[in-house]
Amino acid sequence: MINEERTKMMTRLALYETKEGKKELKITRYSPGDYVMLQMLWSFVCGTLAFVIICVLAALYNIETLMTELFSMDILLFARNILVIYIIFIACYLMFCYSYYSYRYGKYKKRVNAYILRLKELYKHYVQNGNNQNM
Amino acid sequence: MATLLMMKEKMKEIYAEYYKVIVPTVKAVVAFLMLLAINDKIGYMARLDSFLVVLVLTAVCAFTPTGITVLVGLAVILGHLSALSFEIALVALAVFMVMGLLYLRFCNKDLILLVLVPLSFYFGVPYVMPLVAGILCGPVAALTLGCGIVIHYFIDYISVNALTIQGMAAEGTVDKIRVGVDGLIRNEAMFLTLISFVAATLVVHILRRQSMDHAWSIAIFSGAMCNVILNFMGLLVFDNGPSVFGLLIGTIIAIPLAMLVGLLFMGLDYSRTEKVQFEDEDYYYYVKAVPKMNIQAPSKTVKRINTQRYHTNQK
Repeated sequence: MINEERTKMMTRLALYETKEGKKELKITRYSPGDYVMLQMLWSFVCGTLAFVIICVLAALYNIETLMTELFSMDILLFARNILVIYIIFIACYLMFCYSYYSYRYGKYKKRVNAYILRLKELYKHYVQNGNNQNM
Repeated sequence: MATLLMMKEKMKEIYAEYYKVIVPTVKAVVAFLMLLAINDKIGYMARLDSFLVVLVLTAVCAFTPTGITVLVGLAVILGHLSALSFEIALVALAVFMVMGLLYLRFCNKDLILLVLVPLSFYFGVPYVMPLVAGILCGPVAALTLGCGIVIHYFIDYISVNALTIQGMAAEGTVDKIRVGVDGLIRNEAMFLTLISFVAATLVVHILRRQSMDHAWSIAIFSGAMCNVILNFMGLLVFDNGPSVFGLLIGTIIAIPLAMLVGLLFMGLDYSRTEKVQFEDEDYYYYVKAVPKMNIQAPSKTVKRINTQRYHTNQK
């Protein structure tokens, strides 16, 4: 006879594994520090690309002013100002990304821990009731 | 209230049984309306404006993930803008890339708001969106809402200034780029709507998570009031903004709509029949999990008049 209790437990575990568990189990294989650092690296690249696109648009918008003042302005000062704006922008963006991905990892970790607890319960069920019940 | 709850349970039952038909149909309807709205506003490319292309793209969107619907919409917008002016299309592409790089990485679940927000503006019910987004989605949905507002106002600005752009000389690359960028940085109505909608979404989201009675009703009312107050304040500061009459009527319509949507869809417990398979040492299991319904529909009682007993009594 089929053990109904065991079947219910296995069904719930299988449902989790095929739905949310696919992504969550993959993410929680990383340590929290590694996952957050990896996402922040991606965020740094994306943030830098976005800043470059915004700078190009701003340059095209003010192209006439730039062309007339290019040789009279202090290029080093101009570059330093751009760099300061970039550093402030990327710092704020990375702080937001750090909070978001840390929160996300914590949320997924709780669900995966609940899944592991259910796995342990299933294992206990096997040990206590044995495999003979299915014959 | 009980009737609405029973209606919700009936909808869950129908969804659980027919989700394979319902989901593609809803996606097809949303994609169809999106393409019609885009073609109506900025239909400058004849090839994309044809009904056959709209049907084909709708069919594609119906059977692909939501992200593809958003990408199709953005691609169609870029196609139409490139027919109007290459420079404007370049500005639009830059805007979409900045949005994608900075914000849309966080908003996988709420990407559909990028389509629904401009659609709500097109159909004249924009004020329902921050309330619904606050109830059903997380706080990050405020970012997606903001991106949807930017897309709507940019398209609106281009469609209003299309004749001016077409009249510009072919060599006026910088002028056309300037017109495109002005549609973003000098669009006061856009900034006002952005601030008020994002604030309303966050207010609704924060309040509906509180442990108090009627939390989500209070959240909807507070979000609507926040939106109205911020718009009024903005109208004092900026020259452009929504009309007061439109704002008030729109908010009055939005509140019951948002409450209905919240009642029907909050909790996102529209589960469907799931099939899984697994094995142990003795058996292979092929399991079909069918969601249970919570509220029983009232059972009909049929009163039978026993004519035989009546005739017996008469004797």
